[in-house]
Amino acid sequence: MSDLYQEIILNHAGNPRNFGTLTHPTHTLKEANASCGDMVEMQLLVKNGKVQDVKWRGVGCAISTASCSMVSELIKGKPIAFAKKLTEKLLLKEMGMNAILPTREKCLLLPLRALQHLSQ
Amino acid sequence: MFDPNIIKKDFPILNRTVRNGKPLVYLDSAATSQKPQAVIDSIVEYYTQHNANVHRGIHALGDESTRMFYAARNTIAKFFSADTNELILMRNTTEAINAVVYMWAEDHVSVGDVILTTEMEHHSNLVPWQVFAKRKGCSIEYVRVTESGELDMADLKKKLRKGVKLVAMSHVSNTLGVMNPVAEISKLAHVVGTLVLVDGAQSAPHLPIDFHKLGCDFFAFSGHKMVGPMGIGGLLVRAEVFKHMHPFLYGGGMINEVSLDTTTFADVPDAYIAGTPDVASTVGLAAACNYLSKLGMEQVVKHDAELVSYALNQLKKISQLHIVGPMDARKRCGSVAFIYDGVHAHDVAQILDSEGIAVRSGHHCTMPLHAKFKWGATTRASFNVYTTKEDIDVLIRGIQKVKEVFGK
Repeated sequence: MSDLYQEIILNHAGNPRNFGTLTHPTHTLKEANASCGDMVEMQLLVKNGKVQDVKWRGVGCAISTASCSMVSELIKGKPIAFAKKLTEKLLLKEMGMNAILPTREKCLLLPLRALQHLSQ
Repeated sequence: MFDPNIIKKDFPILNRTVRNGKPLVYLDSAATSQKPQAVIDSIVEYYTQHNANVHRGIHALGDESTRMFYAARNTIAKFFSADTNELILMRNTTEAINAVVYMWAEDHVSVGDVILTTEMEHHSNLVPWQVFAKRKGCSIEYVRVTESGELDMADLKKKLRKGVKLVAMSHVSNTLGVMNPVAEISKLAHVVGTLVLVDGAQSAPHLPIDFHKLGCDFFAFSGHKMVGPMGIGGLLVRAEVFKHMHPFLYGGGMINEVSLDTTTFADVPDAYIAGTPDVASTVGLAAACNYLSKLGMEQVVKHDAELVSYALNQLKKISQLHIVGPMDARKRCGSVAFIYDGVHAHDVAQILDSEGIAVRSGHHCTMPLHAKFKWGATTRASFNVYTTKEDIDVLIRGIQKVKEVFGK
């Protein structure tokens, strides 16, 4: 079977973590892959430089869904600086992969591109 | 009818394996078709034996190259039952449609006029008109697509009126797979003095096209979708309409006489070929036309109809699938697109790819159509002369794998 669909990816894609919306977010970050129809809206509650809470919602493929889910877990409770600097390499490591097919890279990067809005 | 299993042997790429030795099952022909050895050979032969610029050199190769270019142009025009002087060579359908904007619409459409197109158009027949309409201050209207995925003819008749300068529409939809009655629409349009542009990208590979019988004013097509090379296609223009057009590329090759003050231009269609043309690809496209003519387009369309009908019947048995476009195979041509309930099209395509099956997933350059029906993205299997029922069986087995991986 396809190497891409590791158990951890199927697990997050099937049961996305932190899915939903926050009542009083301090940041709402939107990003989309127009050509695939994927979109994500991440909401962060940042207090004292820390990501106190995070929720996200969106539609997308298994890769982008798993990626959003895992990113939300990674940044929750961490300093905002960590969320801003989250890299593709680290995310791939969390997924147990060294690299991703070039055609699916944009799916993986969707939540990271959303987080980049924090720095703008 | 021809045997596609024998035809397959003419296409060397279909022999190869992908993804750890899986035989390639190529079901993405609507994006681009594969090329038979005869087409590949014609290009190699041109470059190894005859290459020289056309119209220019008084030498053996110049003669050969020029002769081959003219012969190729004749063959391509004849394939569409058109006259050679009705064919402008273009890179592809997109360039041909954009060319109509500059060569014709620029002079004949003004503020308050209407361009009528449809909700099912490929971006290539929508964006050029949208941008043109904004620039010119004319309006753009869209003929509705019905819930069953067909052109709403009642809506078309309502919207087609005096003041509509052009109907721009696809012959066959690349997403819905539906065939549009362009001959009937051309008749209706001409009654109110409206010209008709047909996007033939998805029809030229499958249907016998008689440009004059079709009755449209412009017919755009891409060679690479009809077993020809990439980078060559054409725009057929009704002879009468040429009188109301001007070239949009000026320079060498398209002139008669040039002085520092003025220029006279070559005759049609040479006036529309500025600069050195892609002779090798033109020769390659002619080889493709010959290849298809030898099979017989009447046979090609029969083969396609059988495949579409078989694919529809097999796919509709899978309960997780929602098929896009009409369920009546007789209304369709070339492809079947579907949505897998609960699994994104990219994931479907990825699993199929791991089985050696190439399909297209995404919006297929019809975002407004996807938005209208609220489809996230769709997966499309598309066919050509080398496609077999066995290929579709492999696809069906591949779709079962999607269920295994995602448990849906």
